[in-house]
Amino acid sequence: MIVIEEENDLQIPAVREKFFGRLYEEIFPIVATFVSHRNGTLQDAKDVFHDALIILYEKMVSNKLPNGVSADLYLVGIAKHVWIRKFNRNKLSVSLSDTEAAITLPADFFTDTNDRKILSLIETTGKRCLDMLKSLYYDKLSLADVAKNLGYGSTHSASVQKFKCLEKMRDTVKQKSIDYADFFE
Amino acid sequence: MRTSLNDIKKADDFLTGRLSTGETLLFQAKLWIDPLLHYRVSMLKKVYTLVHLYGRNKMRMELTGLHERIFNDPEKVLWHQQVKSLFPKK
Repeated sequence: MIVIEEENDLQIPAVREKFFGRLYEEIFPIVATFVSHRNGTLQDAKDVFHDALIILYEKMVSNKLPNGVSADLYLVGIAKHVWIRKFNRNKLSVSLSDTEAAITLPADFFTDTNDRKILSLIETTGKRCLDMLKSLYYDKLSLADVAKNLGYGSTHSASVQKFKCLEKMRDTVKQKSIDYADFFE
Repeated sequence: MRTSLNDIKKADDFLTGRLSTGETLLFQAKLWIDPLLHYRVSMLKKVYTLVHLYGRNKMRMELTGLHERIFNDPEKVLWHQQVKSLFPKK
């Protein structure tokens, strides 16, 4: 059993790969069994499992997991919720433990297609800024770590760049949202 | 920092809960009376949403690679067979 407190530095790709690899081998068969018993396919099981791993990662880097809960049990619980949400299944038809019943999925996880289209429009021009902002707001790395990883001379210069990126992205999103609305409406 | 960056910093601090209670109340009052500020803050919230979506897309690509590596690993043939046997061929 993997205890969540033991898992640190998940933002480092090599650490994450090792952690996810272990969960894949140990927990994917459990999720696949759950999905197959409900007439799902291997592809469904893969999609559900990947969504559940992403949600687990987000909860772990945000310190939003209950203390002392094992990652494997929590992952199975998230996968059940994803299955219910993704395939519009009745929550009452799935057996949930008390810990699993208390799990909530991120409100914005199943995003609308407009956001996907706007992201695809800004990805090509703003990749460097997106990568920096992802490190800070998605992976929850500290400004000091981001400064070090991206080669900034100081935390202050990384901080200034962060606000420049936020300003640039905000203005780009504003423009692309207008362009998108003009084009499709 | 130039004024526009200080404005972004203030909005970022507000949205990420880094302002004091007094500063938060003041900022909320400004949002009520300043439609342009309200619009800019809503656009900043959209940036956070898109950054999250970008992060999730990156993570999904990473997981697809991991899935391929595990399912193509000759040392895990028994594991693959066990997983695949869960799904009857249609």
